[in-house]
Amino acid sequence: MHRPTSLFAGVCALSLTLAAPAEAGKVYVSNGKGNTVTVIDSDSWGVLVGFPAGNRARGIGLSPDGSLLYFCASDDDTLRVFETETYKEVYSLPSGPDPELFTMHPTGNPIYVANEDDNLVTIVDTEICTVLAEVPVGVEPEGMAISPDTKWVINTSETTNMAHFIDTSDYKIKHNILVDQRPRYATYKDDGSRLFVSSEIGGTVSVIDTSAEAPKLIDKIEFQVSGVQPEWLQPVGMKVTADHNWLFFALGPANRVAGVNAKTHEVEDYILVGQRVWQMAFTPEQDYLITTNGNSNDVTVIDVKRQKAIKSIQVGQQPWGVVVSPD
Amino acid sequence: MPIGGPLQNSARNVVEEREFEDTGGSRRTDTGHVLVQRQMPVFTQGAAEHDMVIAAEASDVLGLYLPFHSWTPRPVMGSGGLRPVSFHPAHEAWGATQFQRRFEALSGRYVQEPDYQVWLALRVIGEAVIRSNSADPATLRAYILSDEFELAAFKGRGVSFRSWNGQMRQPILLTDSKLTVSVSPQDGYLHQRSTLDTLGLDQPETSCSAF
Repeated sequence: MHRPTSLFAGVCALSLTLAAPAEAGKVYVSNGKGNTVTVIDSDSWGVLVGFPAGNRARGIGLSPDGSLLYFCASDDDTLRVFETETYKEVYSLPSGPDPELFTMHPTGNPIYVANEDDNLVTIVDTEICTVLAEVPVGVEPEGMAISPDTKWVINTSETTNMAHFIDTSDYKIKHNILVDQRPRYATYKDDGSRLFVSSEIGGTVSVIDTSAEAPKLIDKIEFQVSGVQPEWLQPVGMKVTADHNWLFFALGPANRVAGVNAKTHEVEDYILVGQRVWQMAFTPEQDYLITTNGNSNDVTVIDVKRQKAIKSIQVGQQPWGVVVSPD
Repeated sequence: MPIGGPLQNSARNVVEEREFEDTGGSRRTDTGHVLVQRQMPVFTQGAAEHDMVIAAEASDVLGLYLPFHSWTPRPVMGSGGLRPVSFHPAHEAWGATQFQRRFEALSGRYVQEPDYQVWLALRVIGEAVIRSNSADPATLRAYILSDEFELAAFKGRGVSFRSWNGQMRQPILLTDSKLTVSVSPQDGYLHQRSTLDTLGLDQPETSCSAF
């Protein structure tokens, strides 16, 4: 259903004034097939609640203050917005068709959404709830990242096999970097000097030097696990620790998370988690890393310092995305 | 059209073979179910002790009638029952949903195997052009047949080509015609190079001299 833009804007503004302050210690998991969000308490690791959240829930994120939960309801062609205090849907954002994953400006506005079916990145103003721009990209856009200086938004296109560098001042693509097959996810180091792009089918993570004006592919990280067929080592989600010492890569159907030394790019450990691990999120102090395991319908909690899985928590059907409330 | 050659190569425990000749009178358009449901039990009667029936028929005239009509109740595979296909409209995993949606928007119908194969063939050439940065056919051919070539094709792992016979190394979907029942190679099959080489003709088995 298409609603007039003015009505959207009105609903959006009203909800923002009612938004409640954030609560700490909550983990939100989107369940792609269950069409729900599961909320977990990060102190007790108990499930607090599960609520229906829209069809084919995938990418998930929070406003900077943690009061609003955004997620891509891919089959509803919309971004649904919930209050984290009440779990009530407050409004939806015009995301463009089939939204899969998004990245948010550090201020919380705008957000940049990958529209997987239509080969677009849609840029949405979260305050006035309108589309600011649509940027045509490669085939099947998924991975989204914003550079720490906010000058670049990165999109990876799964079938074109590129990382597209979108200039946030004019929404034009200024650089493209060819990576291995099926790039799913992109993430920056906090200082903006490196961009990591995971290639699911290629089985590699491309390391791109982003410290100069033009980005440059400088390394590819590969994986090897004794007893696991190499083709099942499929990196998807990635996280970099704030101290820049560790990279964590979720390896999909290999059911492992690789702990990689960020300086040498050597894999130091493979942490066994649930089945088909895709996305990950740190708790605020980065003590724990939570992974979504789509085929075993659970999430695994990893103790970051010890690089050990400490707990699995059953969630909804086919968990996809995960986000943790800020402090 | 018989496609029995590859079957004989891969099914090593065939206890008996029978040929059902299409004389033109049993097609679906001639209300095939009326006649064929009487012919199939008789056709499969008195066979040597067997665990399953595998039909090898490229034209889809008779194989689909075999399930439920065999004299001895046995699972049917091949051209009827559980069918090995390169692609199927109900296949959703590994991003295939996006492929299906794009195809349906373009054509207004569900995808068929030849559609996927044509897409794949063109995608192979496109990928080779991008990676090799060349439009020279000889360069592209060499790159496509090399170990460096790999392509994501909505089947959960990369597809590539066998240097010894040019065959595509790819997972095969098993469908009951409604959904993806399974994807081969099955867990547990091992190979020194790639488990995908447990399907089709492996290097020591090939008599191909074209590559």
